Amino acid sequence: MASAVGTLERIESFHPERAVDVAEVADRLGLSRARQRLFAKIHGLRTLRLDPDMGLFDLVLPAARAVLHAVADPAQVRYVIYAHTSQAVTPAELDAADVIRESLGLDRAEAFGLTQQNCAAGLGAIDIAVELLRADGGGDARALVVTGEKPFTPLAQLVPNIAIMGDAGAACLVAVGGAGHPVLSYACRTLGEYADVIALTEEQMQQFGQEYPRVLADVMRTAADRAGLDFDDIDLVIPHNVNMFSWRQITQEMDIPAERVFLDNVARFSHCFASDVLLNFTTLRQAGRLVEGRHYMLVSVGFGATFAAMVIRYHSPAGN
Amino acid sequence: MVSITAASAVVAPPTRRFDHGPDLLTWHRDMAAPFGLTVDEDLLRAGRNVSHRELLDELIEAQDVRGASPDLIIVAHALPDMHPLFVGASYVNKLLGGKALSFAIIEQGLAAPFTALRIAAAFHASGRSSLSMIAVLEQTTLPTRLPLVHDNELVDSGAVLLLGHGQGMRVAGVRTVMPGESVRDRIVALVGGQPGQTLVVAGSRVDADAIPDGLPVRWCDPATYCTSVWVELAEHRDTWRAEYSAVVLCDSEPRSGRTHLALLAGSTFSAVPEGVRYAGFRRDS
Repeated sequence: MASAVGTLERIESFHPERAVDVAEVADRLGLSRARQRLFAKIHGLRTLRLDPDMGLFDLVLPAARAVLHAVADPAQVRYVIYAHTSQAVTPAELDAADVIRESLGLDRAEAFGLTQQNCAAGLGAIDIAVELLRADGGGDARALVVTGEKPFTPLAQLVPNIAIMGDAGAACLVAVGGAGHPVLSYACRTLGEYADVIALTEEQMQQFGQEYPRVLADVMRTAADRAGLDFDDIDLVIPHNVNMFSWRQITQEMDIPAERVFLDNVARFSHCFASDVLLNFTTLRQAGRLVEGRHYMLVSVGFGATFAAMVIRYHSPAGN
Repeated sequence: MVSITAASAVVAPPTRRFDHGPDLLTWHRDMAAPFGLTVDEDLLRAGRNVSHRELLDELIEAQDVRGASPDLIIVAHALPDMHPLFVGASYVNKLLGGKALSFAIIEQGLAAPFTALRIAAAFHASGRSSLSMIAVLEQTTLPTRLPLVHDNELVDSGAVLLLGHGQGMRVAGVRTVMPGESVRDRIVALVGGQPGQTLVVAGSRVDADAIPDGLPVRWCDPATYCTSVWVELAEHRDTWRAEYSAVVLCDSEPRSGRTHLALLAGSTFSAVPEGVRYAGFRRDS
């Protein structure tokens, strides 16, 4: 088994209380009856959280604040990494990552945004945080990874025929050699031929759909291999909530039972950009479904197109 | 320590045609509205409309960079692309072999490329990268008025650095100097006592008093912002490597008040600088 360098010391999530029926959103997005049936029957979407009165930072900050409760001294937080799907989440007048840093009172931290891995950016941010902390010498330094964004415009609310986007935020405290869940591996692959998301032709979308299960399965197997594990050693896949249909394709491609992937939140939350895997982790933890010492694989795919998987071992210190 | 093995730069490429469709205009309007801003379509029409894709195309076609196959690609910018759904890091990844881990560092003003340099050096130090690419991009066509851009008549510009284990100036340290701290003292601490001469390359927003007495300084074009010291580095690195024992890149971010330093060491710059630990990177605190 691979030796761990990074650890996830605390993971928290946040979502608005307001739940909306997917049919209501679909009407607003102008989806035909046939498209609505696709999302309901084939993709398994039922409700999502949307609060139009909740601003971007109202959504992002609660989970980050909850994570910081685990930090004895805020000066320990050396990096704040705001990972998001959209290339920009505010106008150029604002640096969103710096607003987050300042709101959290992390006066001396380096704050930056991480993008261009789209919905896989949260896992990428954890990987980069580990490398930065390792280069700094580890010690008591920490990095705060923050996710969450608003589906603020029609192009951000819907991935045609694939996903409808909802509100959620999440955060994760990363350390090197800390007491949290050891990160055993990270695997990532980018298919740059799908980089121009808005300009993809019907033919390119079909090609992407055909490549998707094979490439993601390959990345997941690579992550297990780098962790020094067989895929059978992975207790549960904690996925992004893109839709049920694509995960059925993956489980068929990998010849694993559907129960090996946690999909309950697809119907409850739909796809919440880069927050899904951390949101799903907290759901499982609250339900008591994560077991000390067992291995879990976090998996996400970002349009554009980046495929990422990370293996962790669950280790629960008090209070997490 | 990783070295800068190749580089390219582009400044003020030809103006392009305005081609925003209704979906993109809606995107910009919906993004601006919650922050109390209004999109000015005339700003877009009057802009140079040079996209990140066009900057990247030109930068990677340069002789020194063409054909490279990096395993790590980092795009860094302070000002967003006008095409918010184009993933430039993935695009250039495909053009350069498709094997790289790729992403973008943003929302840090002109500190973003300094952070990209930290990350690239960290990946080299841990053995996860043997050839990385940093692309620093600046396009100036924005949908809302931003004094930093529009009052300073910024031009579109970009720079690419390749970092590997070949010959070139070594990346010996990256520092952040907080508001109220002495930039001059930090530069002296970085390079003090070294044989030979050190050049300071300073962005136009750096306070002239921050440059230690006796060190030669090269001031960057005030029409560049995030790209300033990186364009200069890409254009003059071979000359500087021959003439100086070390180069300090220095730029001050007007929004945060922080100043960012990168120490590039030549072959005669052998001592380990002040405060350096592990791979040579730390934030001053």
